[in-house]
Amino acid sequence: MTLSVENNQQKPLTLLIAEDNPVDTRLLESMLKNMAHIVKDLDTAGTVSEALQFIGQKSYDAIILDLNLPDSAGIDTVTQISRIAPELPIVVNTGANEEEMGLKAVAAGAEDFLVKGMYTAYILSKTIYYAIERKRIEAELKSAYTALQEAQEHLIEAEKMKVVGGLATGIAHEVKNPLSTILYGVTYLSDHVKSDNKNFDTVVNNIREATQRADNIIMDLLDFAALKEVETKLVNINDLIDKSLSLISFQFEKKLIKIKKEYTKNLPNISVDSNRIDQVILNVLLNAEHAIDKNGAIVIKTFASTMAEAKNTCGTFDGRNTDNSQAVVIIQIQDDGCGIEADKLKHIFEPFFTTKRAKGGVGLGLSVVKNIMDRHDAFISAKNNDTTGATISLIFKASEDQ
Amino acid sequence: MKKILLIDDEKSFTDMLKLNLEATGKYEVFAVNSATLAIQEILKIQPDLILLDVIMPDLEGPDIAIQIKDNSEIKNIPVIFLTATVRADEVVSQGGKIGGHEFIAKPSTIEKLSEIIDSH
Ligand SMILES: Nc1ncnc2c1ncn2[C@@H]1O[C@H](COP(=O)(O)OP(=O)(O)OP(=O)(O)O)[C@@H](O)[C@H]1O
Ligand SMILES: [Mg+2]
Repeated sequence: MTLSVENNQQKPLTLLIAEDNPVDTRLLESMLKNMAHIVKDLDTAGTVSEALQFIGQKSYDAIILDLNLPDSAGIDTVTQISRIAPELPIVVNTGANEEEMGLKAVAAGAEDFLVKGMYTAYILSKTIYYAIERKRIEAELKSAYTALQEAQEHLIEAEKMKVVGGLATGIAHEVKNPLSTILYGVTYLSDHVKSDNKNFDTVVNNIREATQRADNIIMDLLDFAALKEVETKLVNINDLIDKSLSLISFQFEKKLIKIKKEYTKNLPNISVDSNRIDQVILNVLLNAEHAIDKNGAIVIKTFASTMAEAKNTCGTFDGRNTDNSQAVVIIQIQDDGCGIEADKLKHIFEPFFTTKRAKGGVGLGLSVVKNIMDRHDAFISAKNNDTTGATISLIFKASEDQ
Repeated sequence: MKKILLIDDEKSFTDMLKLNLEATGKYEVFAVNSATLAIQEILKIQPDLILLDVIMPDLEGPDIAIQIKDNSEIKNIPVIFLTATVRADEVVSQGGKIGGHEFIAKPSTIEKLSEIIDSH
């Protein structure tokens, strides 16, 4: 059998040995020097501080490290090296009967260990290559994790914007009603009431101006929440869902929730603001996740249909006035979670309606979703499944131009 | 004289709107402040036009609109939604309609309101 590691197209290695026993050092050196095609450069240190000096001067591919050196003993030796050179793969060289120590060293950050007198040149080279490879994968994993964390932060940011949007809508409703009352009251006074009091007009005009100013502030708030304009583009709905899923799939894995995709291929494109619809899908998926305690399944279906069929099968939604023959594309997100109590079904799209208050729910998710769907002239409906859980349907009119 | 029915849970709001609309001399204005009583009142008053608040605590405006459309006796009465959650210019930019319904932003001037009422 040929050594796969020798066939490996990797560049020859620059290695460092840290070993105080001259016999062990010589053994290692002779083994490694005989593998000229593997080892390009080899240095030997007798103590940890010497090893650290070497590391400070040269870049090594790996270090073969004896745990017991004159200036350091045991696991501490590993941590001293990895603290200064966190990227350097460490292969620990332990004495016979010290396998347990070798395992501890791996737990402390070494990539692998060798037991003195128990390895051949083949095992030595293989161990070094594997250690280097493992370190590389570890680094990749770390950067992937960082990327994931960043994505999550973006999500949280989007989530915050969602809250602002919902708050703006809630405030607009709560404040504009009394403002309207004041404005109509003032209008009536100025148009239909005569008074001899010389201050009457000033008072009325001041009230009117102040009310108008308050109304403008609310409008600014709505502007800020930017829930008014959608910038539409033709998109493939399956791709859009996959993009949203990629952002939160790790969250499902954590709760052991399986995602089953039942997509229809070659669906008509829909004309939407993909950032907004992304937000819609995320919110609905997160609600499905919340509804599942642990160990559930979420089925995501996409299919083409007509308005007539949607009205029959998707539960109630406010698309009554839409022509039955209208072609639609539907996304259904079906979970096997707790479902929605019958008397609550028609309230779930209201701002601040939540059954998750204790768990930090604000009750804005679906109201923002509804708002976004409205602005796309699209529909959302919720119904309970025959067995367990709920199904949310997102119903889009198929775009005229494809 | 056109009979207008206001459906909105805030009595102070309907009071003020009623005063202003009646002061134009063109309308006879009725108000109901409970969504659950709305259909009953519509049947009794038989208005020529309904101004309906979108969000109310006990029953949503759209639900009432659906019940009106389902009732053959009143289904032809025009319904205009009043909403506090969109801007006036948005309503205008959508030709006054959102999702197929005619909308008026709260607050709208009496002139504007009266113009829309008269167009029906
Ligand atoms: N898939 C579902 N299964 C069961 N209940 C659901 C589901 N989706 C929504 N709900 C119900 O609808 C309510 C409102 O949902 P919404 O997303 O608006 O608010 P929330 O999730 O409670 O809070 P947040 O604003 O933080 O999203 C939820 O509290 C829940 O009771
Ligand atoms: Mg939610």
